Parts: sequence; C-alpha cells; structure tokens
Amino acid sequence: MRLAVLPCLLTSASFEQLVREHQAAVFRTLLRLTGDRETVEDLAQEVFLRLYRALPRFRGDAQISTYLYRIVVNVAQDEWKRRRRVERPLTSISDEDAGWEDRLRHPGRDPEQQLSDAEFALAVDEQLARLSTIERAVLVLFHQEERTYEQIALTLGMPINTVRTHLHRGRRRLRDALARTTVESARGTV
Amino acid sequence: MTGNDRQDAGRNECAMDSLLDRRLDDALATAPETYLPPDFAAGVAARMLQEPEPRRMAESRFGFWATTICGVILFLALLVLVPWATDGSPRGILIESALAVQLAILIVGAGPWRSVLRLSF
Repeated sequence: MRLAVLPCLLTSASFEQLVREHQAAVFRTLLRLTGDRETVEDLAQEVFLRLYRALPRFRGDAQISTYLYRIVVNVAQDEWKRRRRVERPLTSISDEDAGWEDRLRHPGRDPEQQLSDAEFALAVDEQLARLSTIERAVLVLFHQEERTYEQIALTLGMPINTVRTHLHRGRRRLRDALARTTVESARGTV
Repeated sequence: MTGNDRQDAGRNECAMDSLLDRRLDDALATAPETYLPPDFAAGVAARMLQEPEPRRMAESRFGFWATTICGVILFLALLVLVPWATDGSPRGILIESALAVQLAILIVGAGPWRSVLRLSF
C-alpha cells in the first residue's frame, strides 16, 4: 500500500482494515524481536497507535509496511530498554507452560527429529535475544519477514552496506553461539 | 593422525557446518506461531477514536541546513550590531530587536519542540 492514499486511513473503518492487513506481520515480528508472548498484544497496540499518530507526517514516498516495520523495531527497542530498567529476566518465545509436543511444528515427522528441531529453534531464539537490537532486527527482517536489503535500509534508516554488515556479523555471532551450544550439549550427553 | 584421517575430519567438519547453516536458515525463516485476538483490529480502531485527531502539518518549506545557516547568520549579525545598539541609537536598537525576534522565531520553529507546538515553517 502506498502512503499517498493515507489520508483516507484516518477514518475508523479504513484504519481497522489497515490493522487487519498488517496485524499478523506485526505480531510475529514483535514476538521474535522481544521474545515475550505476554506483552506482544500490548506492544502491537502501541505500534498501531504510533502509526495512527504519525499518519499526518507521511510523505507518500515509501510503502506503509516499511514505516510500520520501523515502528515495530522502535517499539521492540523501547521494550528492551524498559526491561533493562526493571531488570526483568529474558523469557523465551517458547511457552514454558506448554508441553514440548505443543511446540513441534511438523506433526508428521519423526518425533525425535521434531524434538531436536524444537530444541534447536529454542536455542536460536535464546541466542537471538543476546544479539544487539539492530543485529536482531536485521536478521528477523531479512530471514523471517523476507525484506530486501533496500527495504531493511529504508526501515532502519541506514545505508545498505551497513545492513549487510549487521546481517553478516549477527549471523556469524548466532552461528558461533549455536555451534558452542551444540558442542556443549553433545559433551553433556556423552 | 594420517592424511586420510585428516581429510575425513575436514570433510566431516564441512558437512557439519553446512548442516548448521541450513538449520539456522530454517529456524530463522520459521516465524513463531502467534495468537491473534479476533477483535484486535476493532479494539485498536476503537482506541484510536479516543485519541485526539492527528493534525496534518504542512510540509517544511526550508531544509534543516538552510534554517541552521540562517540562525547562525542572524546570531552573528546580532553580535556585530551590538555596539551600534548600545550607543543608544534608536535605529540600532530597532534593528537589534528585529533580529532578536527573528532568531527567536527561527529557534522555536526549527527546534525539536516544533511538533509539540504544532508549528510549521
């Protein structure tokens, strides 16, 4: 959706339609960036309210999704700052109340393999939470949201080469941490 | 360790690396499952109605650098003309006052509080 049509979004019904179109992307990105299911709904509300307040400043030279992702990253960043202030421990995306079988994504596959995949996904989320906010945002926008380098650069307001650097560095850190975890867990099982 | 053993170990390491890369790609590309409350969009739209209507601000006519340069020039002019105004010359005082008012307007209009005051230049 182009921002040139945004003045019509200032009605309640059309804004509701806009929220419907983008809510899934906002929820999943926020969840990946913050790793906390409990607060994701409140944060998503904050994202759309910030979008509503920012509508008059739109110039129509970008896609609304680009602007929305920028707000999502800012809201996630604010949430991390707030957590640091209250020294709230990191929580994983995986709901600890749910059993491991609920986390499995492919019920048709070998249970052992599924458990291993679920554990790996858990480890990725944990290590993702340890990266810097920008590296985490770039990785999530590139891999999960399938945004291009150009779109990420516009979203985060940085040059394309900087996006590439953050992506490469973040991925390397994540990979190294996962390799260490894998080796440690292999030693633990021996 | 023989040369063959070393080659095998290298190959194994390579295979492990590519497996780890593939698994990492898959894990990153797989979005976490989220629960979307069915009335979320309606709730946000309803909350939006309680918000004051956002005001549309006019496009800025001057860029940041033009504003900054004008501010610096005005400030320098103020300094340069100080002796003339302190002489008690009515024309000097008038010009100094006019420059001071212009500088104040520029600072108020270009500062970060612009959006709070809802001013547009």
